[in-house]
Amino acid sequence: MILYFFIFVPILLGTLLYLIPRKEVKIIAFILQIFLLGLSIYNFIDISNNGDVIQVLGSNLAITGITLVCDQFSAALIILSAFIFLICYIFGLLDKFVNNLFIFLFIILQSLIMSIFLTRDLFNIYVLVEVSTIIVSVLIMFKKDSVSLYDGMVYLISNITAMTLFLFGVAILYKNFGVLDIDTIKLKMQYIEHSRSLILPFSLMITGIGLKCAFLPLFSWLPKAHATPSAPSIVSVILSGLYVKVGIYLFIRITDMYSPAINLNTVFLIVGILTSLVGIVFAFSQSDLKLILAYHTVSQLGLILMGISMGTITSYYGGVLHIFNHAMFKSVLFLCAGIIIDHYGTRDVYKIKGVFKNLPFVSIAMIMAILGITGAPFFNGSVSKYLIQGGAKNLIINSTIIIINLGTIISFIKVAKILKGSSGICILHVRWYKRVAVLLIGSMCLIMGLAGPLLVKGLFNYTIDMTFAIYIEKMIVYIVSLAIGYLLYNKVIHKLKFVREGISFDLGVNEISISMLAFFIFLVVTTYITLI
Amino acid sequence: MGGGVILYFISINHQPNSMPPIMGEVGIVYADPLPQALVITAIVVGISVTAVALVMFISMYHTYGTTNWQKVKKMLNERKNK
Repeated sequence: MILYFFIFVPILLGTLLYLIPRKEVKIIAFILQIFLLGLSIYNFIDISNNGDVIQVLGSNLAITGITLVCDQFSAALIILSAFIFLICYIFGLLDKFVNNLFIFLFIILQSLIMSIFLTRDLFNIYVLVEVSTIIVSVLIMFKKDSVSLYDGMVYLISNITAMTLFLFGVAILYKNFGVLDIDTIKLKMQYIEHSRSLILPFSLMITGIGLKCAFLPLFSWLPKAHATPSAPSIVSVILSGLYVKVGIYLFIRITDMYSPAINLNTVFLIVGILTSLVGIVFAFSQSDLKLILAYHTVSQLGLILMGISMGTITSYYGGVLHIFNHAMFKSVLFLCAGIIIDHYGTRDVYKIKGVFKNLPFVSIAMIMAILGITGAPFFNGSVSKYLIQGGAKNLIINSTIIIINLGTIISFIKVAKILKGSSGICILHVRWYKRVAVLLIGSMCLIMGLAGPLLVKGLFNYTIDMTFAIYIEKMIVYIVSLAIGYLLYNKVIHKLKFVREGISFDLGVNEISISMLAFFIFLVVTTYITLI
Repeated sequence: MGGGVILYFISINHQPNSMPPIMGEVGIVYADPLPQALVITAIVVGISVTAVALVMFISMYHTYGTTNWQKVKKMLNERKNK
């Protein structure tokens, strides 16, 4: 029964709250968030003790009915989404724009995201993703500013096109297999004789999912949507911290489903490397604080993709763990950026100065997050990056990861510069609950880093030995790359012309569609070659 | 494109001379009942998406006064440079 609660309680309560507007709406919604967080933790403990939970809706047979399946991975993701929604809720509790409509959309989105994590039915996935896309695009343009209208529209149309491709893939699969359940299709996949008949559905579905996860040619909607100037910062957090993880989650499930017949790990590894390199190059050529963070989401997604398609179990776990870690530190960064932008009235990193003096609490949380994202020892980023690196078999990939980390460090030196110095701007008081929210999630970066080995054991039943020597080694590598990054930034990169002026890479809907087509053709060709 | 997908869904598993799957005799070829259920959902989703997109489009037309992507982009860039 417990899985139904994650889906039906938010939807029913959210609709009721919207239909019967009362003064206590915010309090009830807050209690709902606490309830969901508690329930998800209970669910996780239950599953790790008793094994997976399967619940069937609509029919007695799991194959033909609509199933909700919860394994440990989904349970952990549900905890993550409940936690981030709670933090966002605390953060935006008394803001002006949070009215009944916003709370309604927010709660519905939460339930949709949770049900995507639970469902195993391909058509359900299509419907849920489609509906959540609509809600997200409404949230992006919630303040009805002119730029956000354009961004929301680009987001909506490109994602709808991608999901139509996905639906086409589902249709072909249904023709081949006669079922829509992911697990059953995976079982049947072994018996397929002509694996060439899977090329088309595979490419169609991965193109659709790939746009959601912002792979290399398909990422240009992401900075638009995540960093649109007028979107509330909690919407950016949900998008960047949680909603892209839906894409990655689906990618893991779908490639796992196809794994008996098609295995394209090497291709995705290369795509991942390119994605993270390109993300970093764009990140340090921006001067807009939110855009820097958004491009970093692209590069970290590339890193996650590298982890899960490396082919070794260690790096796979590293990639999965990085999903959680990235959600944590990116949420902190976006929340802090929201506060800073609100107080300074500008988004230009060269103009913001003296944040540490004016907003000490926010800066502490931000420093923790920066240490996390750059992979400093004892913080959460280091554990997952260590795991991804541990699974890398050859030297080239290993050094690529170090280079990517160096790039991350360089662009965050640029961000960290806003902390020092002083400015004459008089700062209004930051409300206490915002500070609590930011510090709470910021300290999670440190806690998850310290408890990294424990976390890995709890999540995947896998032991990593983090000896003292490894910590020392990581410390040295980190300090060296920090020094190199600092020197490089001040001596070379800072003076490059394109970094100073910023490259703008702006694709309209037509170009996004063309790149989608290109990615699709690329996938068809590579799959064809690997299957021969 | 949505229409194409819907048509494809309808044509899946079509067998000539199949009967509608309503209670009745055993031993006849029945049509697969699932695609039409999926198709109607896809149509409903498609309609709502179109509605949302149109609403956005209209409000964008009101704010910019044009429906041309290129012009909107140009206006955005000019605003950025200011």
